[in-house]
Parts: sequence; structure tokens; C-alpha cells
Amino acid sequence: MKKRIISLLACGALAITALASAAGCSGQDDSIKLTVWGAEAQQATLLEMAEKFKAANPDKKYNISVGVCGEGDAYMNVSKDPSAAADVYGYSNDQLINLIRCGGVAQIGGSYLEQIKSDNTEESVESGTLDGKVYGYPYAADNGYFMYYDKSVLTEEDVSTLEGIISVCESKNKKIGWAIDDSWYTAGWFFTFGCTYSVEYNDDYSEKKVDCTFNGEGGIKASKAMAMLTSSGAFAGKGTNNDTIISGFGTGALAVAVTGTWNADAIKEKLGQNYGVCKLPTVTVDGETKQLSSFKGYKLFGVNPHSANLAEAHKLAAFLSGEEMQKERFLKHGVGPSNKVAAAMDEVKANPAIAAVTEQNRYAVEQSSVPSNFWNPVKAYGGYIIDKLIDQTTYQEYLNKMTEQIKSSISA
Amino acid sequence: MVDLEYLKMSAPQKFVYRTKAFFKRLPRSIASFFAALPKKLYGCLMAFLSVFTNIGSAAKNGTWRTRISFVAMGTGLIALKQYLRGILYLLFEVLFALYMVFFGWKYLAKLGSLGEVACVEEWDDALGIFTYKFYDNSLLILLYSLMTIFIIVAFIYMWYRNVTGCYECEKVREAGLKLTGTKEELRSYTDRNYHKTLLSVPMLGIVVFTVLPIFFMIFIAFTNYDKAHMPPKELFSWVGAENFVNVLGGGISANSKVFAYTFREVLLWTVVWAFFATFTNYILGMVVAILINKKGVRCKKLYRTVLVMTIAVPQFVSLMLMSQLLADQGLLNNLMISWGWIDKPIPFLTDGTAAKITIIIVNLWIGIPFSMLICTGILMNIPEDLYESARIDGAGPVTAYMKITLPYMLHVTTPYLITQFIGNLNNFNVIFLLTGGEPLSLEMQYAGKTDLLITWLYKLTVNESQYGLASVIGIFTFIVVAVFSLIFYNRSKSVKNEEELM
Repeated sequence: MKKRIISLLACGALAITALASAAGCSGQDDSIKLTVWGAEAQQATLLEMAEKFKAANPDKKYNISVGVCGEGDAYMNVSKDPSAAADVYGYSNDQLINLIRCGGVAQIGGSYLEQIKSDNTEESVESGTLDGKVYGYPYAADNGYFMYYDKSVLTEEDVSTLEGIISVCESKNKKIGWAIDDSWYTAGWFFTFGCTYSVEYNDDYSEKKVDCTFNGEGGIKASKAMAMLTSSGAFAGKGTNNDTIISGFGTGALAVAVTGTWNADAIKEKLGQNYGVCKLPTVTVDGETKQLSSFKGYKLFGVNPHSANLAEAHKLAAFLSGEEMQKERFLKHGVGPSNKVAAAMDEVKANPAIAAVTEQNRYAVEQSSVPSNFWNPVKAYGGYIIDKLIDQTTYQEYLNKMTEQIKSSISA
Repeated sequence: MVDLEYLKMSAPQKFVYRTKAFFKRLPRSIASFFAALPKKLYGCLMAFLSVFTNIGSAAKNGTWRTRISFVAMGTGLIALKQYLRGILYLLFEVLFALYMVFFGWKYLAKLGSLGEVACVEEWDDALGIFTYKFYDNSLLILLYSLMTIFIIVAFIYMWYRNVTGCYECEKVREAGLKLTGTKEELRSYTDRNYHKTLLSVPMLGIVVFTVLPIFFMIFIAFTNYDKAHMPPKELFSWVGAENFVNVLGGGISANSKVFAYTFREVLLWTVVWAFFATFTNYILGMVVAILINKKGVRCKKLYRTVLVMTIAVPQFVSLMLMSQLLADQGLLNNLMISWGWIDKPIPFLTDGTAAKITIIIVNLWIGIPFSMLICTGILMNIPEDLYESARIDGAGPVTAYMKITLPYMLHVTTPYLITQFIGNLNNFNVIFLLTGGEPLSLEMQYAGKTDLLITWLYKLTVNESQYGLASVIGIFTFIVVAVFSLIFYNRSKSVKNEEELM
């Protein structure tokens, strides 16, 4: 009997120490854990910025980790399991609607909202807004595309019109890299001739009604304009991407390419003194001359509503998108700032790529509230134009098919 | 027709005869299946009813020990000094009750609606931010409800075993025999019941990781789980067979027609691809093996080694290389343009038909070494005297191949062919890494001209978040794969006449 009591006591003592040590463990680690996702190329910068954030808030203990997730992949990675996603992550504003739908992004209000509204350009804040609610801390205003060219091949006058570019490149046996088979670039041609889309949403942000005028007269003109480029011997062909552009400028095969600021450094390195950038050219169809349009977008930091430290996550996102950090991001990676003060810096103004994207953005269409089934049909149509599967007699038929698909959303 | 007449026929005639016979037999075999159905169903019903008669007789004839087991599992066995089983049953019942009260019931109750409130957004003035509270998550409700149903079924089975087990023990004791003790019982699991010990873990794994997800996916096919209904922000709900109707083209929207067309096109290409990918590899692999095996060929080992080297390179590396090489602005096209052979790039991977042919040819690169390896081994096993006697009878090499080599090979490798065919139906790597399903088509939705069912499924889930529709496609893919494998397997020679070789 005595033995049993002793063993019971021993067990009890063990249990108490176990509990106490468990409690001690949780008490020891009182640091605030936050995760940030950003583009692969900017990981080191993000880590530095996290250190600066810690230094700026010495009263609290932070444990910030950094992960890789490109701004274009934010929805794909966050929607898998929003509760396991990062507390703060960068996203490009075309993904906003889907991020809202999957509950992956928190609304911003109060002093944070006032701050971003006063610091950043109106358009950049607008890009993170849906139904008057703001969901993102803008930090980059350069998510658009424009033209890079080889100054030894083309003059500034040549690059002002598409016809000029084509004739010079044809005569000098050089290629034009233009991703007509990538809907982000294809759509610009349609916008040029007044094609539009608009989406009405239900309360749960499913699509109520999609309007799209891509099969109107403008669509025909856009098709003709694209065919003018793609049927030329100077057109580089399908599959133009970052790699083919950089290597194409390197070998001297390419004289012109349409892409964004993210390739600026690499292209500058290849072209050296002949590095030239400008807005997209004009194009003449049926005697009507138009400035080519494009998509423009912004990059923003979103805060995950599942975050265990939601208030701290907002604080971090606000810090990462602040004026100082935008300046640093520009100096290190050439990212065009959305912050008014940072954008007015002399260095920013002197950067030709940023100047070109700013110039092109005047003719660009805001990339938000895009119909959910937009990208694939437009991409397919671009492919049809390149492959010459369709011509003047069949444009209308296939534009109708494309528009039909854009308008339809099987879930609604 | 007698055997002799059949044997006299030429190969094409035989084929026609067999095909005719198959279709002639078909109505009869279907009829016989349905004729046997009532009997089989009756058998099932009887087996099912016997469960109740067993319980009934246990209730009627059992003593208080059995009857108490109806309520408190295992107590009857404990009273019979069957401690191990008794305690385990009791423990199971207690755990089950706790699980149901604290966990299972919450979810099961919401299975009908899949939740009412998903997420609430509130302004928190103190923190200066919007805060979020997440309540019902349709996905978790569905998953945990399903799990609970599985556990309830397991519980009912255990309860039945407990009642009948107790009754059996009582009968044994009434007959004056000794019951097995705890020690003996334990020992039996290393002896008489050893299969149970071995199979328990794999079975549990299959139920948890295969059966449960399959049921889960089947249930998802009946919901509107898509981009606009993503838990935890939004709830999804039951929509009946709507997704099936949409995939099969019966939906009201024009989109449903497009989707149904896509499904047909993708299915057709999947079957065509699987057929060509399997048989081109098989036949060419065999030809290569025969060439190397031929008498008088030198450096046999060298050739074999060179071919096997391609296996050593990871498949996705060679595929990525090929897709870079054959791209419109890839190495091959650029070289040919710079040599002046062509003006415009050849659309190896960007034209619908050309891409299909390219994929099948590139697949040869990956598949031939494997089939060559397998064929080499079997070829060496064919007795040489068969060929010798064929030669004496005046057979040429073609006849010898058709009459000796091919039948022998087919007999041995049919299971290999079947697995290859099934594997190719679901061959994700080759398509995804070479073309990614492209070029896209305006007639199809979310799919390109070279998409297989499996890559289309990937796009529907990963890119488009159309989980409901994707589950339907998944179910159809399963049906296609099951039908093909069953037909081939049942009609293959290695199953039909196992004893007679050739």
C-alpha cells in the first residue's frame, strides 16, 4: 500500500514538472512570428528590410522569415490554404479579385488607409480597391510593358511607328520579339482600337454579368494590325519570353522587343551603348493611325486575414511599402515606385525604362476586374493570328467565339 | 465452324471472324449477366439479412452477458474473463462516444447545408484594423463528416462483432469447452491470425489515404466548389448532378456545349495518344532489341549500354531540353534559319497536329530503351531449336518472327503493355513538360489541343480552381482507365490460356 502511494506521488510530481516545463517553453518564446513572401530576386532585400523593421520597432521582439512567391503566383500559392500562407505577401493587382474570393487578403482601414492614400498615387491605391474597399499596400507602379530596341539598328524616328519598325527590321534581317501569343500583350492591341470589357459582381464576388466588345469593329482592326506584324518576316515567332528576349539581344538576332522593367538591367547589359527604350509605336489600320495601348498594373502587399498577428502584419506591410523601402527597392532592383515622393526622385526620373513605362501608361488600360475567363481565349486568338489559321474573312467568326468564351463563366 | 476451318483461315480472316464472334456473343453475355443478377442480388440480400438473424438469435438465446453487450460493448466478454477483447471493445466504445460528442457530431450535423456562416469581417477600433473570424468551412465539414461516417460504419461493425463474439463465447462455454485465454489469443496473432497482424497497417493506410480521398472527391463532384465558392471565405453547397450535366453538354449555357466539346476532344486525343505512345515504343523497342540480338552483331553490350544511358538521365530533364530545343525560337529552328534552310520556324510544338506528332516522336526517345531492355531478356529466352525447326520447314525470317517471336513476346509482355497503356492514358510528364497542352484552341475551354485528361484536370484545379468540374473529369478519367484495363486484361492471352504457352 505504501509503495503504491509513493509511486502515485512520484507520477503526480512528474506530471506537474512536465506541465510546468511546457508552460515555461511557451512563456520563453514570446517573439512575434511573421512570414513575408516576395519575388525570388528580391529575397535578400526583403531580409534586409525585415531587419530594418526590427530596428525601427525595438520595443517588440520579432521573428520574421522570408519565402519565395512571385507576385504573379500569389493567388496560386495563397489559395491552396490561406491559413498556411504568409502573413504578408506581394501580389500583382490583376489577382485581387481572386484573392478576395478565397479570403486571402484583408481589408485596410483607419490610419493605415489614410497613410497609403496620402503617400501613393491615386491610381496605385485604386488598383488595390474593389467596391470602395482597399485591400493592398501599393509598392510598385511599373507592372506594364513598353519597347526595348537596338539603337544601332533603329533610329528614334523608326520606332515611333510599327510600319517603320517592320520595314527597317525586314531590310536589315533583324527580328521583332513581341509575345502576341501571351494574352497580357495581345490584349493591348484590342484596347488600342477601343475594345473594352467590364464585369458586374454579385455580393460574393462571383461574376453576375460580363460585357466584352472584343468582337466589335475594333477587334477586326486589332486583328489586322497584329497580322501586319506577325505575317512579316521580321516577326520572331511564337514563344517570345524573358529568356528569348535577353538571348536574342545578346546574339544580335533581335532588334526590338516588348517587355517590362524587370528585364531592363539584363537588356542594358547586352546592348550596352545601343540600349534604347520608348513607349509602344503607333499603328495605322484602314487609314486610321492609333497609339498602341497596353495593360498597366501595380504591385501591392497584401495582408493575410488568417494571420495570428494581424495587427503586426499590417504594420509590417505598411513599413515594407513605405517611402524609404520603395526608394531602396528602386535603387537595388529598378522597381518603379508608387510612392509620390519616391517617384519624384531624380534617379527615378533619370531612369529611361521607368520613363518609358510611365509614358506608355498614359495609353494603358488598368488591369483590374478582368473577367475570370479572359486569358485563355485571348491567348488562343493570338496564336490563331500567328499561325494564320484565320484571315480577314474569318476574323469575325473567331472573334465571336473568343468573346463568347470571355463572357461565359461556367460557375455563374 | 470446326477448329480445322478456323485454322485454315488467313490472319485477317481470323481477325474478322473473332471480331464477329465477339459481337455475336455480346447480347448473350449481357443477357446472361442480367439473368444471373437476381440470384446474385438475392445472395447479397441473404448475407445482409443473416447479420440481423445473428443479432436476433444473440438477443433471444444469449444470457445477461450478451444482452449487456448490446449497450456496453465488451462487458459481456469481460464477465466471461475474455479481458483483452472486452477491454478493447469497451475502450473503443468510450473513444467513439467522446469522438462523436466533441468532434464528429458538430460536422455531421452541418453536412446537409455545408455550413451557414463562413467568415465575418469586423472593424476593430482599438487595433485600427479589420479583424476576421472564420466559422464554417465547407471543405472541412465535408471532409470530417465523411471521416465520421467511416468511423460510424467501423463502430457498427465492431458492435456487431462484439455482440456475436460474446454470444459465440457463451455457446462455447455452454458446450463445456474451454475459452481461449488472453495469452493464447495474443499468441495467435503471430501464428493463426498472422495475416491480420501483417495486413492491418496497410489496410488502414489504404482506407485513410486512398479510399477516404476517393469518396471525398466523388462528393466534391456534386458541389459548386470553384473560384467563387472558396472556403474559408465563402461556403460551397450541393448542386446535385449539375457538374455532370455540364461536362456532358446538357447544360443550358452555351458554355456547357463548349465544355462538352472540350471533353470529347481531350478524351479522343488521350486514347489516340495512349495507343500510339504504347505501341510505337513497344514495336520499335522490340525491333531495336532484335537488331542488337542478331547473331554476328558486334559490341552488343556497348549498344545496350548506350541506350540504357538515356534512362539514367532524369525524364524531366530530357523533356525540358527537348521543349527548349524544338521551340519556335529554340535552338533547332534558330540554327536552321541561320543556315538558310528555312525562312519561318517549323512549329514543332505550336501547331496542333505537328505538336501531336512531335510528342509521340519525342516519347520514343524516352520509351524505347525501357521496352528494348524488357524485350532483350525475353528474346534470349526463346528456345533456339524453335527457330531451327522453322528454318528446316522452310520459314523465312518474317514468318519466323510472326509465328514464333511475336506470339511469344505478346504472351509474356501483355501485362507490361497494359500497364504501359494505362500509364500513358495518365502520362502527365511528357505532355506537361513538352507543350503544356498548348496550342490553345478557341473551341475548347481551359484546354489546348494536346491536353490529356490528366493535364486538363491539372489546369482546372491548379489554375482555374474549378474543383467541382475537375472532380467530374477525375471520375470520368477513372472510368476510362478502368474500362480499358479491364477489357485488355480480360482479353489478353496471358489471362485466357495461362497453361498453354503460345
